Amino acid sequence: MTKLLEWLLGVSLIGVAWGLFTFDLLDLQLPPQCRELAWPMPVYLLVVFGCYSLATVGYRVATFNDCENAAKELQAQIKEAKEDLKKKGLKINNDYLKQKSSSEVPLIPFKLPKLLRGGQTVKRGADLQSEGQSSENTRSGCELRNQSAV
Amino acid sequence: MMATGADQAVGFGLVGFSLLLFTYYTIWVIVLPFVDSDHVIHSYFLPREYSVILPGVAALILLFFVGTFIGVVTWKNRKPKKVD
Repeated sequence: MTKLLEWLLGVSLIGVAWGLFTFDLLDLQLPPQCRELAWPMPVYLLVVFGCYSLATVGYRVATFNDCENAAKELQAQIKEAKEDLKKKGLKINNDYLKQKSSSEVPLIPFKLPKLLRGGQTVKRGADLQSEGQSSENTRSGCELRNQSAV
Repeated sequence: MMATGADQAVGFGLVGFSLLLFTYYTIWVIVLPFVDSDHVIHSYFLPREYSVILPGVAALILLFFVGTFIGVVTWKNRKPKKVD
């Protein structure tokens, strides 16, 4: 049985149980408070799930292991590699690598993949690392890591 | 190397807000049915129907904003004759 079928089966079982309690289809004569408790249950579970998601995202934003030095160094390396490749004739048309006019380093693109993957390595810039340039800042302890393997 | 000021503020603000929301909503949905109807705490909560209507309305509003955002971004990125 596929995962989808499992989930659908579970959800429909819970839905049937909820329907039985809410509409009193088996005439179980439960105390009125139990019926009062049962009928908002689907909405309640959704709200609880939403609160949990919001809290998790907020907590991970607050405890994210920023490495501003490493990010700036990486941006400089990307620029250097891009110019080097341009000299060798490679045309790069990648909007992500465009340097914005503002002085602030765009750190958000580095944070989102980390947030969404919950701690796995960041893939961007991995190809540029294979150019042979080694960084003096090994970025140990920071959560911004480059690996040549995907 | 913790996240800097604004990030921490926003992050913990989100955590606090969701905890508040969870507590209020849990009391509203789960605790209140078992409390006597003449207790003073009932004056702090709307009638029970609103505990389903308000999240429903909020979900619709959220969907509206998400749809609008997608529409605006798609409209801005449209190119004449060919869309990349």
